[in-house]
Amino acid sequence: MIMADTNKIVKKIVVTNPEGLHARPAGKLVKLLSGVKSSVTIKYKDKEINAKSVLSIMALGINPGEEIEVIIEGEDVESALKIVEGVVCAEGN
Amino acid sequence: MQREIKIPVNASNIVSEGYAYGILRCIERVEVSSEKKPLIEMEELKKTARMLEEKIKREYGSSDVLGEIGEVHIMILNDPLLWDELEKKARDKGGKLSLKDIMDVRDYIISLLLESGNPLIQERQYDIKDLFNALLSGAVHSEISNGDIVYVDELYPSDVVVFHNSGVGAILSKKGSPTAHASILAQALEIPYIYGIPPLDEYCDMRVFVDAVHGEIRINPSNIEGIKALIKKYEAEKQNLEKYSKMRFEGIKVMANIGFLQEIDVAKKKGADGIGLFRTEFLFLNRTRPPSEDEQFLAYKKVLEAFFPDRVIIRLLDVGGDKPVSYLKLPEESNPFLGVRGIRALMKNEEILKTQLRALIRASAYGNLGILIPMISKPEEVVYVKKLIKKISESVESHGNFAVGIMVEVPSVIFSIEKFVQQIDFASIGTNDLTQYIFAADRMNPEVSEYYNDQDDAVLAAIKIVAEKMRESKKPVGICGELAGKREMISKLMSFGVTSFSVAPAKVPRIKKAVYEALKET
Repeated sequence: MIMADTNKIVKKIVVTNPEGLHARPAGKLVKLLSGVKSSVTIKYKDKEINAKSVLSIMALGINPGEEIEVIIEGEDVESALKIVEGVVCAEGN
Repeated sequence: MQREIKIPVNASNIVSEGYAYGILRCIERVEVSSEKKPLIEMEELKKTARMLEEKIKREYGSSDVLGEIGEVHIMILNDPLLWDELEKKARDKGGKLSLKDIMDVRDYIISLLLESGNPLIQERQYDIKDLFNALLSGAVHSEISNGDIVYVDELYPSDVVVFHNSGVGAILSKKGSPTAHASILAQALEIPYIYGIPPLDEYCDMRVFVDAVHGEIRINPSNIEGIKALIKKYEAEKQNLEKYSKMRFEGIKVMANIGFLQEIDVAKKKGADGIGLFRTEFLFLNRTRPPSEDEQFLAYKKVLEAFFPDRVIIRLLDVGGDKPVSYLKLPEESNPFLGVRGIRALMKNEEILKTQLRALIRASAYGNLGILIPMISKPEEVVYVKKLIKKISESVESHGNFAVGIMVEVPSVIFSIEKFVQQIDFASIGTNDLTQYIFAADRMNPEVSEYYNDQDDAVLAAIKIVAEKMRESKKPVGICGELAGKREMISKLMSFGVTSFSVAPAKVPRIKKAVYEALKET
């Protein structure tokens, strides 16, 4: 489900990266997001964290097969979403 | 001359192989005392962090693995959560932080990582400790000279870089894990490293020989000339090992044992002809719920694809009462090694077994899969698993072909091997447990270590029985215990009819060399 006004995206994504969002993929995500201006928030269970913080992502310990919600707000939401999906749905590297 | 003292080491705790002889240095970490630094300005801390970042770039920038770890450290140094927490503390104190404030933030972040429930993330606590150490004090290590053997309680990534630069011969640590960043660095920089070593306080500053190939530490070794010759020979061999890793042999495979997805790359790099043993415990341990079918499927698919068309043998969950798993029904036992473990535990937890089999069968579409059943002792157990597999296969939409085999580790299987041969596609001899059951000697118990010998004729006779019966039916039989990594035994095991050796990734080139030489002789 995508709800998009001009510069906000909320989307539910199932993690299919075989390593989940553990140490390596978390680092990859943060590295790629460092060039993004929009704010990126990950909602998982009852927690909401800043997706540009590798420590916060790792603390969630998200396993493959689980669902997260991403909330992206700002001027480059589309490219931010592409990056998130690229890492979260990667088939490995 | 002081007496020689031998300290046996569990060979599976060897992270990085090699030999070293030198002076044992017991490293004490300098505790940062609060008297030295009363209050630290937030701005000053930020400046130190920037300097540290430059230092990491300089020191870690040289190689791929180093660079990657350095990148993670720089990312942590710039993490918004870390600085938000520090800012929060400083706000109440006019922009200044006490040492306790900083340590509280450190411990808070570590607690978050520990709560993740994932062992790979939990290991990152050492990176956090490492960085905070560096932020607060800078240099940590006293005098270490070229060739020294160092002992530390916990090994941090920056330690390995410092040790590498000072030419340390080998690293020993009390705590550790094969997948920690420090371990990955030790492998990449080729420094012999073993963890799980009990404190060596009484031997500090003595001469020590580290055998990080077979697993032994000798304090005050007597045969120094022999040791020096051994090290020289090993180093010379290392130079031309690479050509062996690319070799392939007719009818004999040298495969790798792995226990984490992160080991796929090194196994490939070392030239493994597939995976002879993929332990699946990493998916199940240290968590409160079993992994979902999808989580398992994705992991199995990844390793299968990585090695296709070579075979990947994935072992069903192999746990017993010695490694309690909260969501598994396992009885309390006084003797878990003779109790409910391997297939016995899975039969008592059928849902877990069914989920794992379903994930495996789905993943079989992506590679050359062998399903390995652990701790088999009776033919009925194989019949039971194969029935389940048949039923599940019928309900899975698409799957590929796959093989089903058993671990040969309980002596009953040896003496009735003909009852198993027709039911299985392959057999894998787990010589560690087999030896322990043949001699009734716990291999972790130093009191009975003299009884445990995997090269004894009794063990070899058992292997021969299995290999011959399997050969008659033209079915592959492999060895996946420590014995497969003993070069001097390869030729004999091949003569019995063993068709594959599966060893730690780092050992693959050496075993390929042994196979090459054995084939040349005949």
